[in-house]
Amino acid sequence: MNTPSKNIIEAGENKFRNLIMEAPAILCILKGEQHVFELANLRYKKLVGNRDIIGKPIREALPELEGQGFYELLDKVYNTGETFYGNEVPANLIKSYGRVERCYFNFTYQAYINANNETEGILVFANEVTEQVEARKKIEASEKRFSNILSQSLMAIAIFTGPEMVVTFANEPMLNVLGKGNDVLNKPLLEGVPELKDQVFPQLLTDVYSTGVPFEGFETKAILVRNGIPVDAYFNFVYQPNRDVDDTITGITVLATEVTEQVFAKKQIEESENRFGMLADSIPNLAWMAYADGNIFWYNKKWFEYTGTTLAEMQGWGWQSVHDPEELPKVLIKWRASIKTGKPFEMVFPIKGADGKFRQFLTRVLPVHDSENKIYRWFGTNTDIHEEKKLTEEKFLLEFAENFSHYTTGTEFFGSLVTYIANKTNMDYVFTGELTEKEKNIFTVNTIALANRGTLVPNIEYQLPDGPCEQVMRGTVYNYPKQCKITFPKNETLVQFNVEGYVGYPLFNNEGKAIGLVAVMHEKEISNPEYVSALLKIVAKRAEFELERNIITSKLQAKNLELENTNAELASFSYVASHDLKEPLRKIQAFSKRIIETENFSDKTQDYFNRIISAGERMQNLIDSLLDFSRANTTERIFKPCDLNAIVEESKHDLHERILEKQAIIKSENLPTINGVYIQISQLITNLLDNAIKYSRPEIKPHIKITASIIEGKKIDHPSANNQKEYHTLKIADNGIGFEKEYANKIFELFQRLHHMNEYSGTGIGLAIVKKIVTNHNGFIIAEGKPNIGSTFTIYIPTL
Amino acid sequence: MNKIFLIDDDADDRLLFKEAIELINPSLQCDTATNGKIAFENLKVSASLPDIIFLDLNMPVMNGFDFLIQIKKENVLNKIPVGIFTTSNILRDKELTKEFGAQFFITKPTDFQVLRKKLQQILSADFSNDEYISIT
Repeated sequence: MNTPSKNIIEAGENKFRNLIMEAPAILCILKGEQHVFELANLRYKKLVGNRDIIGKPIREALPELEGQGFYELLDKVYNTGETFYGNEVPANLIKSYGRVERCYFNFTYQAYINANNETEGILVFANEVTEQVEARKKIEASEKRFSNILSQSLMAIAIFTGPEMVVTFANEPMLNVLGKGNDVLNKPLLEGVPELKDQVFPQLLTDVYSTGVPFEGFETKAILVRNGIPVDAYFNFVYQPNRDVDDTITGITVLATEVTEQVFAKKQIEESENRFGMLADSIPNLAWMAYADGNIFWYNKKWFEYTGTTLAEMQGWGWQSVHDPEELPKVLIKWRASIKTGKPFEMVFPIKGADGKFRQFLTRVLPVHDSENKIYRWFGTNTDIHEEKKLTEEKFLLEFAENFSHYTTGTEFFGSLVTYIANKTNMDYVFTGELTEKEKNIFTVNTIALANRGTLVPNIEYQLPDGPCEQVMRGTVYNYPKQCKITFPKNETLVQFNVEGYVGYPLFNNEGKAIGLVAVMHEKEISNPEYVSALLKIVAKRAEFELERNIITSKLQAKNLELENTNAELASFSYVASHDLKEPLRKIQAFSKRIIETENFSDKTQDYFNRIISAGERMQNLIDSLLDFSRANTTERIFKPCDLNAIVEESKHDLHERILEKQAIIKSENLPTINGVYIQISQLITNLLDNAIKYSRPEIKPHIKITASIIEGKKIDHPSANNQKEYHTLKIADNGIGFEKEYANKIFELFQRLHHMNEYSGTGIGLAIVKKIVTNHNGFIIAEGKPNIGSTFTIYIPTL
Repeated sequence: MNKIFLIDDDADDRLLFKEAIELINPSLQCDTATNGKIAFENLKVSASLPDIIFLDLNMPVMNGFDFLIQIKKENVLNKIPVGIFTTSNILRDKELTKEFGAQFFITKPTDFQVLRKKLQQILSADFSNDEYISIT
């Protein structure tokens, strides 16, 4: 197609292209879906660092635009045909040297359409506005900073201009404290805030304006209308004149801080202190107040009445003049420590009265904290305890009695006694000791309890000569508050314990003989020896009693132990003896029987051998019973539940042959389980059953009945019955030969027999064992009988 | 049953024991030792072991308890049934020796005939199944 019209078109196109290429804007044409650069003018090429972009899709040509939204915008414009206008849109672009720069553009993306009304490409038209945008941003930032300074300041700031005091600036805090809105701006002050008219401020402002001398206000009261209500507000503020270049005053800058809350808080404290002062004046104690640093600024009336001083004399640390100079250093140390640590102070010390006499006061000082928990005051009271001190001894006695009435054992008593004295007196060493005569006229003291600075330590033994203790043993209280080591240079104990002060008190037995002592030793001089010796005197009586009791108890214990050992030896002796006696006896019997079995003797010889055998049997029975009796003493007394039903069955089994022989009938009710030594209870039952079978009447079958019940001790008519206890009752009744009433007790005695040997084969030990076992179980036994009717043995054993 | 062994320090008891055995079975060999130590040493070197051992408890040098403990540690000897033959009638002794592996417990009677009966009972018993017999 090479027609003139085509030429004309081509010429037009070229012209257009040239126009575009040289246009003072940034221009390019992107074609097709991929936005291929078809054309880009010089400025565009410069913008993208003269990269070779023509014929390339934009994603390939300008890859740094990825993720910035431009590709997507182009796609949208291409697909919809709608034009997009961008205003100050930022783009990160590589302009040159591969460096990404942030640029801002105003631009349009416009679709161009071919003859078929199809979108063929996009025309891009852009102006770079980077410089303008950045300049504006800087200005905005600095403006923001400035306005922040003024308007966000917590301090209320305002600028009044001209003699009319027109409010040309007021930050938000200023508007807030005034209780106003923006409408006060650009109006004279008194027009916008008319309530200030009759207050001090208009005059002050006028003065500053006319004189040029700044004014500073401190906790100045202003009445302001807030939320429609007039309120009192307090301010610290400055009026600062503003001057022109020619030094004429143009207005006033106001800087103000509201301090209303602080002022109110202070007023409240003042009020409460006033109220408190009135209250403190009305109490009977001396009272005072000090600042946090300990400077006393106020005393109540009672203080001045008692001391006869004035506030001027007493203020600060002037109170020292009414103190005892001896005591004062201790008071000062303690008081300064309290001020330093903030801890309450409590101490007893004398204070001089108007009459020049000292009386004892209990002084208590408490810190007073402010809302931030910091100490801002000390409040002290001095309570006159002079009269009370006279009661101390009585009080002490009571306390002492309470403390020591419940200690039973000697060691524990003395331990608590010395710790008690140590706590009361703060002495380094407190001890009680027992005097021992080791050899003739050589005495030592063995401590029973020794406290070292209030803590019990192991006991010691020390020699008496040449020490204060020797003096104590000879007389009454010995008081050496100081210089002990010098007074008793030969005494090793004093040197060893580095003793300076000593107070001791002897303990006497009821014969008036010194048996021990109670004493304190101190590494420093004892400052209150009278108190210490009074204390020792009070405790001595109780300690004497305890010490004597201690001595007697330990003697008794030694005797008891001796006795127990003797008993145990005896018991084991009889056990071994009877056991060993049995052996030769067994041989005598065995060989005697062998002889008459194997040899043929005359009748007489036979009879003699039978007598030997019979005597041997009796002796064996006797030894067996003795063995049982000593066993009733020696077996370990471990109590455990014993089921009497089972025990009766066992006994019946043991006595099986005798029961068969005599055709005895033994009946027992449902019997209880009792606490006891099983082997002994078993022996008890066996012996009683054996007894009942043995002493049956000839030709009458033994009937034995065992019954049980529980009975209260007070219902039993027997000297051994304990009214507080409950007893198991076990009755064993038979229909045997019985006995005369007069023998009821005798039958329980060892080797007591009521019958001739040939009648009944008893050893006289069985019932003695029974009685022994019942006694072992803290019970008792009663025997009742009627001749030829029967006997009943009743056993009482405590249920617990 | 060919051979029995009595360990007892009491000569009288050894005599009575042997007489009783003689009456029960005259062909039965009865060896004796007077304490645990001698018995143990004899048994260690013996060519023919006894079928049963009767052991007194209270003996000098080595008592019955110690002998029992010793023999039960021996591989071959511990197969021989051992029983107690004593004057003691203390339950604790019976329990203890049973625990140590004794298989019977008889008390020495005063009556020879009773002794004979007791021994007869033991000799006719079968101890192969850990049977335990108590005749007191």
